[in-house]
Amino acid sequence: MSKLTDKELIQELENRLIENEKALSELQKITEELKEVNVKLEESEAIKTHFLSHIRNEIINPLSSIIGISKNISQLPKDKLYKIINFSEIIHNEAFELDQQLRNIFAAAEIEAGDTNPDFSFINIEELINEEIENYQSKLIEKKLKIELKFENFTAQNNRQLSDESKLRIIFSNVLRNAIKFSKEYSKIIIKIGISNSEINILIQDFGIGISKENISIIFDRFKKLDNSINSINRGHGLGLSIALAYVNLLNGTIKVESEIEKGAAFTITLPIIQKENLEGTNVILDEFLFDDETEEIF
Amino acid sequence: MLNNEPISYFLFPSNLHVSKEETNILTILGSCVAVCIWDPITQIGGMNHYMLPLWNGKGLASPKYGNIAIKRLIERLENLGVKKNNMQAKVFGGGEVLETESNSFIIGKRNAMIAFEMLDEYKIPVISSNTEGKLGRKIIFNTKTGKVKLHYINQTNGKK
Repeated sequence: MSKLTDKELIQELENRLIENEKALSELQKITEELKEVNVKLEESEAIKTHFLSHIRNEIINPLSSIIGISKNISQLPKDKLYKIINFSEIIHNEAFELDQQLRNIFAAAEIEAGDTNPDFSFINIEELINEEIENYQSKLIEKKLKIELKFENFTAQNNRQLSDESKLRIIFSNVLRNAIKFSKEYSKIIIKIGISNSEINILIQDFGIGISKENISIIFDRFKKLDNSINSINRGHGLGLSIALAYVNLLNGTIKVESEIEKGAAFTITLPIIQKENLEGTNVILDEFLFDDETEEIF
Repeated sequence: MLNNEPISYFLFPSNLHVSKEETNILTILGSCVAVCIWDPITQIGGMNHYMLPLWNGKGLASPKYGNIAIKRLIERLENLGVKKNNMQAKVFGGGEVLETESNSFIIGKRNAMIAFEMLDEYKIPVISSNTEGKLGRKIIFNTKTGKVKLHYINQTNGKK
């Protein structure tokens, strides 16, 4: 073995010290992560219990009011038929709410079962956004909210894009719903849809109660409502944003959140533009998928 | 079906697919891992495709995470009548396609490790595997024969 000079020896020692420090800091990081997971596991039991009582509220309450009001309608005397308009609006709102809740519950179940292959087709982005906003019209009127909607860089050529229509609807609708839910009365919601050669950006900004820094990281967790009291004025059971995030990831996109307490929150959804040629896989014929034979291996 | 051509199914990340009919399940792997489980007796098989090793309580408990994806795959096969002690597994992927600095972020290796650990726990033998390394992989798994064709790819087109 060749002899080390003092200098080399010191160098080697220094190197090992640095490596050790690095390993130590990584270990600390992992321990921190573990602690976090531990806390979450403890919480999960409590959340489950909560979830059941929430579901009861979310499903049974709208159903009972639909049943009650429709019975009223059927028993209305002839001279009071004008009341039907009001009643039917209430029924519609309750049924819409119920529909959204059920859609989310099934979407979450599908995601958790690993049964969410995207189904791409050409869709008209402007139309889709407008339709989804239209769905919330009565909610907007109820809270006296104004929507500022802006499409940027959209042309007749680029407003049809490849995406998964039903998933995009659920993403947009859940984030918008969240914005409406946490907006203050008489405020506004800014919706800006931008398009470039490589991506679609959807900004949904509200001026409501906002989210604290610590809470931003947990709003995408399932069953997470920042206000956990049963009688909270806000309905829903904290599935919406976790579904939106899972679907955005599935479409290779991202969601960014910026928020300040009492100033509101801005959600930016970015989705890549998909070229038809790159739509690998969904309709691939086996021969195209494989292979220039020599490099193929069988296991 | 009249012809005997197997159905082709492209598996996206965070999903899993099981089938009683003969199906060629295709997928593309970078640092992701796919576990194929097959029963030679009933000739039923399935595959998952997960991106991260462990679910940490964030977001939904989906098969994006190895510990959930492997458990779900086994459950789904059991629902189709496959007995656990007939199951055989093959594990693919977990390449380090992106250069990383820190040891704790070698996602590919950790993805592969969780598969071997969990399958060992479930006592499902891993009869072949091809994991880690620097390259991405395309694989085709035939659910009837249990055969897997594998092809290396250089660039992964952003697939994880």
